[in-house]
Amino acid sequence: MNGDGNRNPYIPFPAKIEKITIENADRDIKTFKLAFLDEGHRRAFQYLPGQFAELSIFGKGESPIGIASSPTEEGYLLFTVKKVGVVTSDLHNSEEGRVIGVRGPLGKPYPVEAMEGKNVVIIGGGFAFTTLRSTIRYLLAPENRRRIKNLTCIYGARSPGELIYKEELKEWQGSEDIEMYVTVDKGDESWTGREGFVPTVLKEVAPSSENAIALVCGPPIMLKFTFPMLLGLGFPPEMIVVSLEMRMKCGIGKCGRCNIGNLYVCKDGPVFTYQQLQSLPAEY
Amino acid sequence: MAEDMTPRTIDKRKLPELAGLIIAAGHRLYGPVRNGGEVTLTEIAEKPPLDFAYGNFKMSPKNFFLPQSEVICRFCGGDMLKDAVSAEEKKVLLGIRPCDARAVWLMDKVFLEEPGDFYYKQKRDSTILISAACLSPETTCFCTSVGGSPAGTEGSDILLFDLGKALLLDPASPRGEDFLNRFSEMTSEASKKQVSQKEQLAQEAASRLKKISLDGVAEKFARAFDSDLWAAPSQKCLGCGICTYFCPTCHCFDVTDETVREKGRRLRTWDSCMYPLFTLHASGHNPRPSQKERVRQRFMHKFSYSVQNHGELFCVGCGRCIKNCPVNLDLREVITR
Repeated sequence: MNGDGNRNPYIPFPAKIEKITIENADRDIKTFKLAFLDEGHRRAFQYLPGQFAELSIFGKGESPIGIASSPTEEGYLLFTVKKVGVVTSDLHNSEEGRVIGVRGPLGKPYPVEAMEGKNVVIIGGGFAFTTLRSTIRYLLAPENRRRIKNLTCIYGARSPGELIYKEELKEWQGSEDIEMYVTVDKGDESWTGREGFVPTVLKEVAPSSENAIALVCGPPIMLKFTFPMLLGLGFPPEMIVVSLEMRMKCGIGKCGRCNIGNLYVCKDGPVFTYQQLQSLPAEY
Repeated sequence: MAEDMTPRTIDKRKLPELAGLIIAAGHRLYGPVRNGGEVTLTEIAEKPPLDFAYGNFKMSPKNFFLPQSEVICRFCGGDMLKDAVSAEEKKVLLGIRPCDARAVWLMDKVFLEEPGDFYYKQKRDSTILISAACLSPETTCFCTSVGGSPAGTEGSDILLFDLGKALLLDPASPRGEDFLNRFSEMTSEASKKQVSQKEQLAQEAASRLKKISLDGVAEKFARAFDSDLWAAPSQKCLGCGICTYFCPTCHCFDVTDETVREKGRRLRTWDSCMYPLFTLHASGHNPRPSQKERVRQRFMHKFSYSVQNHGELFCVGCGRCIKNCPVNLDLREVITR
């Protein structure tokens, strides 16, 4: 949270849904573009890629959702939300113009300073791509792009329809600032791109681990096969960075449910290094 | 500092008068009152029949700082109402045991660290804790094994000793000293004899407690995460969660919304790591799928993670979990195994 000692960290800031974008063929992933009603709240919400917020709907509850926008995109926030539970279902039924609550930013961001002067490899799977989208947008901003070397991204989804941010994926595939690999587990008749699981594509692309840092976010099964692949490519455990999720309530390390070992995913994470994970019990 | 102030004493017969003054000064006073066979921490209106012959209260005073259920905010439709939080009333808790005061001191480490917990802090700031030294510990007590003592002062503003006809009031914090000064006309300076009587009583009480060896328990548990240590207690455990409700340091909570038509409130309520829903993801995945993981979590949290995070065991040895467990699961057996 922002260092305002007197603020009550449980009270959300009101924000208006300005735009809703349906992201996938199953129509259960939507991106919500939000703008704070209060200028002071907007200024107070200083975040970096990898952080999250509790989206709040009075009467339904709160859901912790990664921030999909980049702080370089000023004036609004993006949250890409899959319809799964009570809060997210209600959110999905929203119309543009609705006011909801936002509480945050929460958690630790991806280590943007550690990326300085390095090759950055981004590996994402499914709709967990959201905070990685924030990171890519952030790194592609001219003032940040010149501070890193190569930027490589491997992103995969189950099927072509389940890829999110399709317009941007196209844009990035045509860009010289990022080497973009998009893959699907299984294509359809119209799919002309890559087929194969993310870890397999990672093996084929084989980005160099020399002076490099890898950011990983995806479903547990993808993580399970991606870690050994990255280690095999020579990435040291402290240069593999992963974002985890866990059931949360307070988001500030009090309510006691999202711990892995002695660390709380909400306040000590959600971003961890693989080195940290190795020293924690595998209870996630 | 508090140590500079000499302890005060008060004749027990003058206690109702002191209570009256405390209440008149705008505090809500809670003290030990016998209701039926049991002494409970009860709100006192006037002339209280205070009873100091008790082991410990059945319930810990956790509820005063982290209520079983409390309102975070109220709302109407999509709008939060501004009247959400009222100012806390000043309270005095008289007669809680040093173990329970220590538990508050431990909870402070979680709730007062940045970002501070607004609701907890309000209650903590407006409540004076007057602990009563525990002169006849029960068989389920083991405070001296987990860092406390029957006359420990952590968390207390004033520590009280029952000297028979009189009570000795020993300030344990600047706030407690200030409080005693405000009512100094009701008390007198303790004599040297009374002070040495107090020390003797404290020593005697401590000597009655059986010490269990917990050296290196945090490291032992950390190594035992994947061991079969958890099989026996988790097979026995019903997952009822009563240990967590009675525990003075268990502080996990849930946040839920409640509505009638469009008016509603956001509540936080006690929750328990003993329940499967506690960690169930919306996706259906559960990182703690069976009672084994849940029992392990409770023990690891208290005896290993808390030591790593706050340098203290999050158990005060009050023995409530032992007394109230429906299947007689004795925590001492697990932590000494």
